[in-house]
Amino acid sequence: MSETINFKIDGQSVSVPKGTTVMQAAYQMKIKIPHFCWHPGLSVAGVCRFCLVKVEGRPKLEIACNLQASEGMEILTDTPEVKEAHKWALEFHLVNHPLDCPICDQAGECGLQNYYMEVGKYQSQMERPKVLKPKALDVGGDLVLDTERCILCSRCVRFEKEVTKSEALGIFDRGDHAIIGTYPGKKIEHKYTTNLVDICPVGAFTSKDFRFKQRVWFLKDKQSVCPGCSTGCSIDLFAKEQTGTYYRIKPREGESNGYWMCDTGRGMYRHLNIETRQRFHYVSKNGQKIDIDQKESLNQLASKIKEVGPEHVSLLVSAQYTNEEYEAFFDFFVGKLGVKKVYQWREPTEKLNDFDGILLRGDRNSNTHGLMATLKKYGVGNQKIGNEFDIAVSSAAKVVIALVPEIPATFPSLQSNLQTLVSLNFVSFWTVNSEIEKIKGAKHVVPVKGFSEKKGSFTNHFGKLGHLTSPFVSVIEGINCVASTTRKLSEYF
Amino acid sequence: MNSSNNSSIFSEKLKTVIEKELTRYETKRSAILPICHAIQDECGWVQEKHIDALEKEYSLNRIQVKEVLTFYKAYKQSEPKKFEIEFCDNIVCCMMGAKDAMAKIEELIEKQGVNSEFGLKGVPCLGVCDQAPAMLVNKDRHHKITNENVEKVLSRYSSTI
Ligand code: SF4
Ligand code: SF4
Ligand code: FES
Repeated sequence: MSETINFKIDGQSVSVPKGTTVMQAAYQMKIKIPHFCWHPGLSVAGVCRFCLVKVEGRPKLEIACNLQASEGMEILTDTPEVKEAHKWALEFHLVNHPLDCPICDQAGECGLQNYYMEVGKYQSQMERPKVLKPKALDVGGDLVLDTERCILCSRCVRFEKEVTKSEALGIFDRGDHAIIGTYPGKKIEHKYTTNLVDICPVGAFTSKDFRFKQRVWFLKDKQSVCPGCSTGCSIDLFAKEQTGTYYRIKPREGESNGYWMCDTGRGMYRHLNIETRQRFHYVSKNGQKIDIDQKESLNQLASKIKEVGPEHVSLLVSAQYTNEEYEAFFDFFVGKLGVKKVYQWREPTEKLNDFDGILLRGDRNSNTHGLMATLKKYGVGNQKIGNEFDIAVSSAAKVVIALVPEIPATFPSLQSNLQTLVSLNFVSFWTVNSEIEKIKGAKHVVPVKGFSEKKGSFTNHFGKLGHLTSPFVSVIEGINCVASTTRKLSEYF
Repeated sequence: MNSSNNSSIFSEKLKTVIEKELTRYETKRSAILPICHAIQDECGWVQEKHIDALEKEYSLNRIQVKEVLTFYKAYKQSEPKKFEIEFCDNIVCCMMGAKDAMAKIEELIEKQGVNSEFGLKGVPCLGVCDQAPAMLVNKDRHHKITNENVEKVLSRYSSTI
């Protein structure tokens, strides 16, 4: 029954399956039709009346979001009549809008502002005073709600109903007194709240975590993959490049996540900031910490490995690094040196098979499946997913190279595990975060790059690759990823 | 009759109405309107405990119930006084002097000290624009109310207090 419809938008021909709306087709063709209430991940509401288009041969303008394409239809999105309609639709949306852009956190990425710059720019015609409504309400989760800024598009209401199924938001009262809100005295409780900030086309919902920290136009965003769990949501990471300060994460449309991401994933930028990063190579001698440069550091590690011999070396590997890093790491240690003892380092309390029914998985590692595939390829280690930390500790290797989990927030036992390792013979900690600095006496520490600073890929829960394509430059000088650190180390052999 | 459900705050009669309405429409949501009317008819107004019970006993979403209750002015969400005056404040009644009459009513209530017995609120069109201004006192409809005749109309009620 997949009948095809041929029609035209602004003269461009397109074929779509029957049932496709004009808005959906335009979205795929990257033709912009202004809209507030329509969202590709939600049902059609048709309430903002902003997406009006001209259908050739029909007298009245029609809304594109609820208009099914039919054979031979010709749509025009850019006639004077359409533009005039947009102007008026915008005017009505602005009647009661407080226009507090200078103190609104949405400024710079606000649908109202953007459309005003495109189709508006005129004197307001209204003489009546604006209707005042409650502002700065804490409605739970990451959310602050300003009901005056709301244009009643109902996206948030549909998100609560269709995506989280929590139905925590409603529109109360009516007319120009209609107001968005939770049930009196109740708060939103699910773990997907910041998506409401993203889909709200105006600044009615803003994020507690992000608001007032930065004006968005000072931030640079790059495509990345969330390392918060094995779902591997596609994300955009926002940072101030000059200072290397990361501010927020937003979902990017992707196969594994659709349009959304969870609130846990939103926090995956924090560990990247300099305050919590391992910045220097160091060794400890008689309890004293001595900073050394990379050359000296890798030279010392190479000598140590040569001294004890590869048969007394073991690798303790967490599942939070990229496929490319595992490949280079195992290629050298297992392939070239012949190290045999390889152990997985996983959170002992993890509930591997947990799934919240939306996106978040109990496997809080970005690359469990990539690590398993590499282990299999090199024929080392246990071929089953499982924590082998205790076995690694009791195996009494003379030298342990440990790829420390990158994200302390997803690894509650990190501190206690590090404590245990520091008491061992000789452990070389390769680490993104500076958790190891909280413990005295680590024998050898190597800083490595975080997920935002390198290229590479993670293999997610479904076996699909998520690509880290556009890294930010690290503000930590001379830092390398695990792969190039390994290559540099190999030069001493 | 059926004692398994006797913890319900709804009377047997109300339960029968609710259950019937719930099967009448394609979606449960559509039944919210007549159900709230039935509750209001029997209990005077729709209280929090009713909304709680609708959610617990009949899985009606509380947000949706609240949306309906706040959308329509005809639903009462606070305890009604002995006499509830609902005065139309839409355009035709206003043109014919509704605002003056309402001010007069307020004055009378104040003067006679009957605040605890009389409530007054503006409501949307009552559907009798040709007889404007119009008002309801509980379920009685009154037409062509002006600030001259309103005292007489209301005395019918105040004399029963
Ligand atoms: S709060 Fe935002 S998303 Fe929700 S109805 Fe208002 S404008 Fe739309
Ligand atoms: S579901 Fe997992 S990958 Fe997606 S945002 Fe949450 S933590 Fe990140
Ligand atoms: S996008 Fe079509 S009516 Fe809102």
